[in-house]
Amino acid sequence: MLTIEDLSFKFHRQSVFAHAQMQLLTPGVFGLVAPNGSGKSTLLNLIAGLLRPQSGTITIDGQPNTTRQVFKQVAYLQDNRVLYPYLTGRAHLDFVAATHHLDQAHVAAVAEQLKASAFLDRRVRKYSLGMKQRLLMVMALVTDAPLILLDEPLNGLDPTCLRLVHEAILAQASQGKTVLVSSHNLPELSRVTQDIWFLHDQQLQHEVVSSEQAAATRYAELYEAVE
Amino acid sequence: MTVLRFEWRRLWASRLAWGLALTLVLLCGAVFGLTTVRQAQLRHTMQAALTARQKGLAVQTAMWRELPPTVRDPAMQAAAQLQTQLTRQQRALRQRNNRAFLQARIRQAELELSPVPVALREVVGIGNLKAVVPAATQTQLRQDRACLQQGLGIEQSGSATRAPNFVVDWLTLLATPLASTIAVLLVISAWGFPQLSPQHDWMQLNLPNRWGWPVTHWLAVMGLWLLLLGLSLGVAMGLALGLGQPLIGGTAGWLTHAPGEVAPLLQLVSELGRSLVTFGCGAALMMGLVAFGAHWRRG
Repeated sequence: MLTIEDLSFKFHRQSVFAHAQMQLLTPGVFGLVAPNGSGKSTLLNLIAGLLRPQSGTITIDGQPNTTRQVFKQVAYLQDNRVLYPYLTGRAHLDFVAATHHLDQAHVAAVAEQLKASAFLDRRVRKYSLGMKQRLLMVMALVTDAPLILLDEPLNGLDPTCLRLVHEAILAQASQGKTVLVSSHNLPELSRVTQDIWFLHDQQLQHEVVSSEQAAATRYAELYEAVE
Repeated sequence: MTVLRFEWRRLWASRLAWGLALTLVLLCGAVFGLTTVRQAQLRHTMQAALTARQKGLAVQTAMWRELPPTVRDPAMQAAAQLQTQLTRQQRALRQRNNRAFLQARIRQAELELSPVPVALREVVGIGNLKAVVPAATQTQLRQDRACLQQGLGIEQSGSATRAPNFVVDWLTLLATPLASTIAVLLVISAWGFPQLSPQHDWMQLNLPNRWGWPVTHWLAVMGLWLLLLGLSLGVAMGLALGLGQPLIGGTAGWLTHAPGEVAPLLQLVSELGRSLVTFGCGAALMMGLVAFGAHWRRG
């Protein structure tokens, strides 16, 4: 579904990726782990075509990640700054539904699945962090894109919401979609996947961690030892 | 259409449109008030000019006593006639009698253009008598005659509060590069900053064409400006119809105009077009700069 080859990217002359490789060939949930500021969001932005690499190729379903290809194949949950505070959640969803030609009943069902229907008619500025995360999740999941990029979707969620989001992520994988979840919250990430891509030393390393403990150990080896 | 609808929804929800509309209404009211003051000042200036002219003429005629009777007598006679016309103009101005004012001014111009004062001017030297430029006098004479014939009131651009004149003046003001620049800065800074934020990314991700949003955004901005122009036009019209006063009197029409001038309706259409073009180019330039800034910020 997603192939990254020889990716190099510098941001303001600082190298973030140097000839990095990544392949997500089968559907499922994959974690993307690194400390804050290491380039997780940058990688997702590169995949979504919001940033252009200095070299290397990114293909989605065998095609370059052009604007049109990303529009058709990718759903991307970004951080909550993408929301317009003076608009309601429903206004955001209406826009996504209209541009992707989605059925309103389908949108309503996804919103209900994430228990977001109750607050959709309120302005976003009145939302709690958890509400914003759930709205973003609904906005990402309604499009039915085969590749789903989730940037820190577990932030700011209470235990009930965490369970709902976990279920939603796993449901997407069971529908044959590929979900790439960035997070530095290893215990929560471990609940949805054991396939982890660690971003380390400007490279992407794939590892299968058997447990939350194993993931934490590996995280410590990679990042805390350096510090 | 989807994007345009969303942009409008965003516009109303952000209350920017209301803020701009209120600003324009207040500004229009302030300009109308200022124009009313300028109109009163203009009337005062006209009175003062006529008085000064009368005094100057009296001083000059006193000096002509030394001249030979063949030059002096017809000159004194013409000066007396000029004084009469100046007095009539002053009276007409006070009584707001446009017709009488025009008649007196036309007669004054005819006297000034007649051979006697010209010969006299050669005798006494330019500067003592009004520095009449015959071509300008003849132009004004033509205009005054046309105004008299059509019953049109005398007005001066920038100091007129009646509907056709004030509305055109107001639109001319809005179409100036300075006003357009301020409007563009207000609209783009308040409504266009999402281009510099992650909201821009979200819009781009949800559109199949990368030009879709900027182009639609520009169209929406233009639509907003057109609406605001329409609103301010309505407010200017309402104020002028309700409170506007003629400088002296007479009528003011949308299609009637003096020779050498353009009908107010045509001026209105022309200024409206000029404002849209100036604003549209400014908005496109500003949006381009914002987009460039966003691109640069991403490294």
